[in-house]
Amino acid sequence: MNEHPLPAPASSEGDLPFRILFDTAAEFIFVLDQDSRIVRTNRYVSEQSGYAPGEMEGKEVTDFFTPTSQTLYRSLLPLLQRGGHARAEIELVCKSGHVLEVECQATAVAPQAGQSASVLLIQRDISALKRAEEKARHHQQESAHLMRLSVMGEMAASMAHELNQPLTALISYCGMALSQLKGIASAPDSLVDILECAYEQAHRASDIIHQIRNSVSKGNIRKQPVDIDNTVREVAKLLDWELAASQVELQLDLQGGASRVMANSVQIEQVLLNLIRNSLEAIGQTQVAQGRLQLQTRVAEDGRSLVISVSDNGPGISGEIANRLFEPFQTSKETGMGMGLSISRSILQAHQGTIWLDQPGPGGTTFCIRLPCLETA
Amino acid sequence: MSKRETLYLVDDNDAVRHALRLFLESRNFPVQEFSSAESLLASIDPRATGLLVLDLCMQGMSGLELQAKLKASDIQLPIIFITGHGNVQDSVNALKAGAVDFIEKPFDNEVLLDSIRRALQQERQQREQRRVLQELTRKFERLTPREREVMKYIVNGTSNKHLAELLGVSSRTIEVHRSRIMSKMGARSLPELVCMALSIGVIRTWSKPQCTPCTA
Repeated sequence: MNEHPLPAPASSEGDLPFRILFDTAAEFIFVLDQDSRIVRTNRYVSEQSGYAPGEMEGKEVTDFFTPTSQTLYRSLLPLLQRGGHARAEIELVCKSGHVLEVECQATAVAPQAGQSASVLLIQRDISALKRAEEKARHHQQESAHLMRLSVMGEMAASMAHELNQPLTALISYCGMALSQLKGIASAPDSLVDILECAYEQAHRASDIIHQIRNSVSKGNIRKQPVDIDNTVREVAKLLDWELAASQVELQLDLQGGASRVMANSVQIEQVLLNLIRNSLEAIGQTQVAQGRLQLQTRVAEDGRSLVISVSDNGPGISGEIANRLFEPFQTSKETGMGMGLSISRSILQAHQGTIWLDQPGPGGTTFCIRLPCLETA
Repeated sequence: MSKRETLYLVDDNDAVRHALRLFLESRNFPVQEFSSAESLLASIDPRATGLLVLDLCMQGMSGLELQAKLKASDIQLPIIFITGHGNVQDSVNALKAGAVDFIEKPFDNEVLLDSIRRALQQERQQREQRRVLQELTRKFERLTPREREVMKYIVNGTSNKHLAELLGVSSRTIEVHRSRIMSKMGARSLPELVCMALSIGVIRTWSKPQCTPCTA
């Protein structure tokens, strides 16, 4: 916002080029008097809002705003009356009741010979942009939510696995002790009772673990036919900014053709995002002149599955680390939890697919994902 | 019961191995334990009999991979999987590949014992079946070529008279062949001989006897 009033236009009525510009502009233009009443509107306003010019003239412009936008606009008035310039996002109500989201530029026009001061509103329809933004935000939220669920699921699964080992031994020891004790006639009953309690509690612990695992992994994922090439393009779009910031060159080589897979696209995106972010970090740690990332899709030789690969020219992964790569809590990062690849593997398993490191060793890393193709009837 | 079968116990968790070994030995099973799939592969006798109690998720080679390796080297030990990380897909894969049972950890000793008993019982029956089949095959191989030919015809229902014509010999000769075949194979009736022929694949399915009209 600034407070420098525009110089008055050379002429608003008589100048032909200006009139043509006014009438053919693909933006909403309102000319208002000092009291915010509509003096003139251009053709675009009537085309888009459904109101004839005569229906609007003389009314306050805020009559055509939603209540929230009315309040917002009124708060700008003092500034405009001082001859300033303001920008705001306004909701414009059409004759049909449909609401358009517009970006509104309000400019005070200084009084000039024979004319009092006025305000010029120029508005651009940003409904589509808003919808896209909303969709992207929703997508991101869903992805983050899924990520949290996956982390919890993966942790619960690996904790269940770890805890079930000592419980197996405990239950077995208790069972043996009980049956041996029961074979001794002189064994005190109280000792048998105590052991039975211990035995029961060990079983209880195992039930609890079972419940936690079930409740966390219950989020049954929905799968539908997915065009993987499209998914990879979406992922590339999501990473646009990160790629630009890290100055890594992205190469897309999408040969998946029309093949589809049965998948939860958000989960597959999650796996790809994971791999790509790992790659970007790896590239960031090396001294390569130009970081390069390649995303490739192709139909496997057997024609029955699709392979997606993510390659970078980072330092690569040594064979030693490669062996334990997909196990939970394995990480080489200072702040990592070591769940990313473990989750990715679980996701692929749930898709009857596989994920693997193509070739361990220096000079870049390639991860591959294989997903079974949808049978075409 | 005769000599007890050896149980091979593979689990990478020391406590689990120790507890299960104590228990199984208390029930008089000889137990050999291994802390990894690799160590079992390295030392097992290819002709080993008994049963494998195998952990599904281990460091290094997994239980499923070991199952595939054993199958590839034709070591036919029945396998009971135990797992602390059971998912449906794994159990389906394991059972499809021939595992006899899939038990989730932790379990009661008796559950494991029941499963072991059932598996060993099943294994004994299968072994007996294999033995009977081998025996029959050996008997069949001891027939003369002519007897084998005659047997194929008679189990298909060809009459002595018709067969005599087909082979250009007397009915009496066929009768002699027939009684030799019955005694060498140890069959007391024609239906029994047919069953034997079916089980060792002398005939694959019951094909309708050929009814060419007698010309005589």
